[in-house]
Amino acid sequence: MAISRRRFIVLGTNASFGGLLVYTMRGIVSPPSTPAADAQAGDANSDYRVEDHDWAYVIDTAKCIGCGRCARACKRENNISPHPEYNRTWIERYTFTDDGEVHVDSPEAGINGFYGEELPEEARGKKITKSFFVPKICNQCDVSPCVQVCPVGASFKTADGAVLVHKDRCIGCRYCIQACPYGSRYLDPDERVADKCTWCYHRITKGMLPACVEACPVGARIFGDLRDPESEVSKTLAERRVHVLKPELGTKPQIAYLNLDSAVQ
Amino acid sequence: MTHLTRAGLLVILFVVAFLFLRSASANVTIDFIGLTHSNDTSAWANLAVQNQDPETCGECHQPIGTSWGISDHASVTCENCHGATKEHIELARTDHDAPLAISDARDLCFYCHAELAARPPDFPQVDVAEHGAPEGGEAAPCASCHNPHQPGIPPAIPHEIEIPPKCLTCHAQGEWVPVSDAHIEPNNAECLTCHRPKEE
Repeated sequence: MAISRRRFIVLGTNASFGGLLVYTMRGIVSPPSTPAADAQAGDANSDYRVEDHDWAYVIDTAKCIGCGRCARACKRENNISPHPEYNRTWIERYTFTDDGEVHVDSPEAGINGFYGEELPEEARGKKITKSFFVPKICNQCDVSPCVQVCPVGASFKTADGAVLVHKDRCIGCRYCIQACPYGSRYLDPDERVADKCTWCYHRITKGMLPACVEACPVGARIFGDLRDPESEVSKTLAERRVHVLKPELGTKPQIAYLNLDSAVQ
Repeated sequence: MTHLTRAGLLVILFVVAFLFLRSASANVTIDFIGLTHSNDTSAWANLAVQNQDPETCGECHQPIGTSWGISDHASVTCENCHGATKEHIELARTDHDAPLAISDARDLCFYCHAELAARPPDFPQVDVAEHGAPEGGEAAPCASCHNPHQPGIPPAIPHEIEIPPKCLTCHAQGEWVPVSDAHIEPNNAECLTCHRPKEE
């Protein structure tokens, strides 16, 4: 078998370019599909276009009555373990006493409300100067520490603003849980993967509100699309004075607070 | 000229090869071997909705849907008290008495209406220990006086009361100033537990 060096190089180059051409054409000829998604496309809204939305969420702490209905609705909607350690949303109670101390408590994460729950021991018997509830939730940060630290790329930011966890990819290493400055993540006790608030992604993509927003009886939680200038959330952000949690961290939280006290972290 | 043409062809070849490689490496990430995320939201978007909105409940449940809808509790969705309705709705397609459990425990009301320092002061709140709980007696379920679908203070009675009361002689449903459909099972003996004579 005699093949000249020249002929070998020419053939080799042609084969390489041919292969490259076929490889790059691949996507044009048959667009990549995700078999898993096709198989269970049953409940998704096929009309939903992720790039047409930019969701935002506002919490008014002055309206919150600490009833815990949001937290219970969240558990119902997302089939989350009833154990108070696992929460996508929770409620904190801030109690200021006349000795200048601030007491923060969240008995059972506020899932069962606060009635019958005694104040933190150090606050008892003192005069309360100021007290309020603060609902907490994943901040769906634009610059998300949890997404940045994920070693397998299981956490990602969607084009419409949510931070989601790809459960099939997550290896349960808990880096993201450590990285979140807001304590918004936990390890799902059943599946052993990271879990967090999704803004009820299965509801908002079908034109519904997140379960916590729907459940709030006093309108303390406002959710909507920034692409719609007439939405309540757009108007609230445009006209009211809002604040975010821990702005100094540069995480760009997408949850804005109305009437937020400076003691809230 | 031949050597110049050749050199030119070589340059063009390199440029084309470079562009090819660049586009190939820019468009294809190592995603296809499954190591990075795909931003595939379908797993989350596919989940089934458990809680409906009140309009869905109102499709079957009228007139309770309308009376609740104009009450002070219009902002409290059905499922806040009745629980998620996904199963109930599926059952109700074939069974018109599809069960939907609700507790008559005072908890359901006190989640919102128990007096707490952290609650906004203009929100209606009651002292849990005193309200509806006679001294030494057992606390009555809130719904025995208040209608959760039409909360509010029961109206005072603008005339003298017969003792024993025979309220329903005049106020039966369909009669003169009928009792509202807020009453679950009105009976003479219980009217005065909630209604008070108008004070002079």
